[in-house]
Amino acid sequence: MTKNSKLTVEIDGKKLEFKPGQSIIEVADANGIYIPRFCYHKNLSVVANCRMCLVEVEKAPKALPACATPVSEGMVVKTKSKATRLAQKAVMEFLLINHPLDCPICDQGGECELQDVSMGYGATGSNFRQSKRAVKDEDLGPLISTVMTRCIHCTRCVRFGREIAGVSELGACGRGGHMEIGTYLKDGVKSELSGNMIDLCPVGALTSKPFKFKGRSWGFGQHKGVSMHDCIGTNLFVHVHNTNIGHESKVMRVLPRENDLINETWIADRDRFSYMGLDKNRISQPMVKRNGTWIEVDWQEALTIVAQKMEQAKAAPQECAMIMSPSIPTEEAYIANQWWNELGMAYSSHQIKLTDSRDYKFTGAPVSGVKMSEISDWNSLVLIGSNPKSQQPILGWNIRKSQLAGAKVTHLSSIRNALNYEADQIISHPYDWLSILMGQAKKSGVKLDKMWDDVPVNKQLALTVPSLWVLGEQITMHPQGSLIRYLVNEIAKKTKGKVLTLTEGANTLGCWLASDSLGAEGVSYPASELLSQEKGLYWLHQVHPEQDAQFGAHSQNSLDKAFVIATNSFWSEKMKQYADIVLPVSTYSEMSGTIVNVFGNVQKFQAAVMPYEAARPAWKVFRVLGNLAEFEGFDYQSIDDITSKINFDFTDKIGYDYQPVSVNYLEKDGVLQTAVTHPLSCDAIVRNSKPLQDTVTQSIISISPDTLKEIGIDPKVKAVSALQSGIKRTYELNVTDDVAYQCAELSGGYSQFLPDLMAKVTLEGIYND
Amino acid sequence: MNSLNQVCLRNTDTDQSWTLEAYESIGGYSAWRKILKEKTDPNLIIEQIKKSGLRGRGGAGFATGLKWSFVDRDNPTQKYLVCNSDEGEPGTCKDTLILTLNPHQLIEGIAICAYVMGATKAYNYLRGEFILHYKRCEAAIKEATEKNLLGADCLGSGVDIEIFNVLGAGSYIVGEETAMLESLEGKRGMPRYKPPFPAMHGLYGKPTTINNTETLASVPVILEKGADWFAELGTERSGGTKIFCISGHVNKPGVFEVPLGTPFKDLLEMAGGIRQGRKLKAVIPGGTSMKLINANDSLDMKMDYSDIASKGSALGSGGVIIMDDSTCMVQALCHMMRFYEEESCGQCTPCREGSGWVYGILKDMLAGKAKPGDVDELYRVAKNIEGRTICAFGEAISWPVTSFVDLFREEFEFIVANNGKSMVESKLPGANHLAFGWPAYEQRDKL
Repeated sequence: MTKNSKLTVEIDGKKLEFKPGQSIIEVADANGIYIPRFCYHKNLSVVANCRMCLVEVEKAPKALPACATPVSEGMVVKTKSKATRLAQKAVMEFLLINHPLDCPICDQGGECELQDVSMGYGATGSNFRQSKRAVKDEDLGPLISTVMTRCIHCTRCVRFGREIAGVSELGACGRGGHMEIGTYLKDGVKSELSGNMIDLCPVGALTSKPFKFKGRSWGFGQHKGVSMHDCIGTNLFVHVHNTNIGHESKVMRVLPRENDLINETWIADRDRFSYMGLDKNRISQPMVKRNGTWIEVDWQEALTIVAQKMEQAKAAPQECAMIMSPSIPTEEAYIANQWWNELGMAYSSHQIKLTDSRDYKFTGAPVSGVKMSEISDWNSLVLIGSNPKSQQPILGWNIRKSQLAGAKVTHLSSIRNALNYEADQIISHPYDWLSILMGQAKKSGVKLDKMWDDVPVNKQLALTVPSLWVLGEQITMHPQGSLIRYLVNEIAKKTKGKVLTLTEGANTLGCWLASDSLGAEGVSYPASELLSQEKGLYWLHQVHPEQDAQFGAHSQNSLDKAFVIATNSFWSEKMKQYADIVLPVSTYSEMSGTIVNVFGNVQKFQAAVMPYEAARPAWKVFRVLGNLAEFEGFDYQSIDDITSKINFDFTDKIGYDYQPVSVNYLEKDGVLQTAVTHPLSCDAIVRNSKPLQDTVTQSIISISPDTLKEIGIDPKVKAVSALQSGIKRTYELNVTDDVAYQCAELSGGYSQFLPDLMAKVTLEGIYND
Repeated sequence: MNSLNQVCLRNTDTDQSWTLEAYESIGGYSAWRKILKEKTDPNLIIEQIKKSGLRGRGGAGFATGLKWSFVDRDNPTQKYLVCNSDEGEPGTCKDTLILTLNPHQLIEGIAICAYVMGATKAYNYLRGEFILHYKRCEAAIKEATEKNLLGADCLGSGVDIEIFNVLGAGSYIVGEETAMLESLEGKRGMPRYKPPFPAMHGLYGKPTTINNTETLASVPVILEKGADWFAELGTERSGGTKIFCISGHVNKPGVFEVPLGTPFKDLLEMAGGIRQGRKLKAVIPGGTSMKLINANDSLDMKMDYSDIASKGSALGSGGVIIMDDSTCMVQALCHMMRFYEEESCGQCTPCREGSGWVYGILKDMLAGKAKPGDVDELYRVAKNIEGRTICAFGEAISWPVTSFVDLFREEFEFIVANNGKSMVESKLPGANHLAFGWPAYEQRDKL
């Protein structure tokens, strides 16, 4: 066969082209021919066990499963013939004999594949007279609800665990009609991607626990959303009640929106269940603190007070700082900065956790030119201070895909991460990482300035192939972050590698572009610097620095002394103390906007619901403040007017050309607490989502035996107390060799977290029971 | 009777027949030694096997020589040979004798086949209950390895062959070749969809050949005595001998290795004829997964692949089950279906759901709870399973049901119409409980 000749197969009398290796169902799907199926899913392996897709193929002695039968030249397939119908109806009958007829009380009703297909292929009555099978349910945790009697054993959930999530939490026990899907260990499902099993389940066996009995799919409207919890920009659908049939405007659930460039059909549990926090702890009215008590005021009064206050503050612009969340839409960052600039203020920041900012203003946009789809093409990946599996689960899954395709993955971290892919994990103290990278730089032949001569060289890392370097949260908070970024970029340049720097929040690049469009060259002052300077006035936009910044205790100290105006959607306990004026603003479900992820994908999302009580989209608040101050250029009619002001073309702004001027040396003094923000503590929405918080396990501190010996704690004690910036907490002690010497790693709930991340901690054993 | 036990069971009356010494005393390993010495062209061996007319003895009867030619010997990747010793077909007890009494001949057969495939590793997958067999095979491999008949660089020939015995975990379906591969890989024993076939994508995704124990144990004798000798033992299209396991209502149940084409009547005579002078009612010729043949058709039947096929059944595994006129066919079928209900792997919908449904209807019939029309229902359900599953287990449920109903429909109609009273029982009082011990397992089910 020549290269140009096209392969054709005949399905239902139509001649269709196909590529070698395609199955009948793939060709049919691509051409809009429907073949019923349950076990087949385009992103999972093919097992051909449900038998629903049996179709007649000419010259085959029996009906063949369309999902597992490769098409061949000249094959004739009949998806509507009598033989096909007979086979499919027979399978349907078998599927239904043991399936309960409880559709009216089943959450899957209305979006159930079995229900849909049975309308077309099922009989009106059943001849089955024996008793139906009943299966005991299992508690899979706070996210997934089970009614295993409804299970039709398609094993999609089992394959998802094995193939995508990389952890076989569900499996089949028992044979024949006694086969049951379960965990066997009765320990629940813990994967960070577990919610996808709910979508995959074609029946109501696995449904969403937080959504249980909350609504029917046909009563929902659907809006396009983008995840705001990490820098990946996972695509979502936000489902809301149709208000025109008398329901309140409320987010009912979140489902994945397919995007082959980013998340295919999967989303992380954090993206799926964070919506449960959207209505919790909300600020419902503008409020002003008078004589230590909070007083509700209307918007007009509040804005007038704020405008007056800012008019006074203008006199000392050096004393004012605005701290923004990096997870706000680009438009919000633009108008907030525009207003701040017009006021003549100098300091604004969207970099809450960046510590070493020496290189920040010298480099281009915080984008690496790496695409998600290219991650699986690399043969070697090096992750430094990063654990995407927990922090950016969709990126973690892509790294797993890459590893399964044969890539070598190396982790340089302070703790041995529990991963779902094979990796070399170099466990070392974060303050040694510069030396380890020096070793690699030497090996790669990087030419360095004389001032690097005194940096010790450690040869633990000795890669010879071009690698993708992924720099994570620990580098953002590393006191030598700029030096590490410089070295890694030099190594990558020399070895045909690339660097992917994982940014804070969901929209660091967007915030940068907003500043850049305002002519500020994208510069933002690191918040940690601003928060330590004890300014007179802080404007906090969608941040709670005591939880979001690297040095929580420090930040709170500054905030307590200053006049604090907060535009936020959520209260925090501490905010009630330090804030003086709060203005309620919309959270992401209540507004539209544009965000730009770490790969540079510019994505728009839509408002799904009405703003919560008196809350208003922040861009409108800043617009009115601009109008009140009679500034030019604040006459925006819609958010699109702001969007059009922003230049989203960053192609000529990529690049890292920083030259360090000095090397700072770090002394390993005592024990370093190395944990970064817990993935389920990343922002206020997630912190307020009860189902997600319920998955957080007990607070544990992991320390190596050597470290314990060094600081004189008996490894046999059950608990230790940890002291940081005057705050003391108690943790269960886990003695393990998987943590670097002189490091301590926390895992557990956010409320048990210490105030400062990547910072020194003083530990004491608790000896009495 | 000098035509008995000439191939796989040829040394069963020697003392300690399972030892290397005993096996070598009857010329064992001579074929293997010759191959190692002469470095025989594997294609010549395949030619010999093709010429001998040897067909797979596990049940499907696929031509062995042809199967061996499917694996690309020159493919540099690791190749595997798997010997299917997971003998579980109800009514079959032939491999058990080879494994306990003549393990060396099997090992020689495995070694030769592995040599032909270019496989350096072979697995002998034994049924979970075969503890003695496992020990004998382990001992045999040890003996052979000590003599360097196995292992690295066998007898200085440069040929490496390692054989591992693997004990199953008590599942019938693992006797299906692809389920066996899954089990060997440490997974749940569930058949794979074909294509891809094991010859391309088998154990650990590598080219793999799977043969039955009796098939492989026949190979050394074929090479020793010549393909023509073996072919002439049997009939034109069914070369060699076959082990038949006669069970059921005969006076002397037993295992007989006879030339293919032996008349069924002769075989029945070897087993001492029908017990208590009763009349033959029906025969299952090749294990319970095969279709039933009634007495009339069986009397002129020859025990070879084509003649049994012409009667509408198949030679299968050679488990010949004889039923006399005291057998209640509903009970017999129910007893068989209980087995299939228990052993369905649960993977495919029709088999998982259908096996229990069929068994349930039959239990209802026996318990007098059946409704008019249930015989048709039983037939329809069984027919709906056939041809719609990944492996042949679907047929193994469907064929017995449809053939039992086809041949003895009046018995099924009678039991439905008479609230569970068997037609046989009403003719032969007391015969009911003789057949398959129904009450005993009814009680077990309740436990």
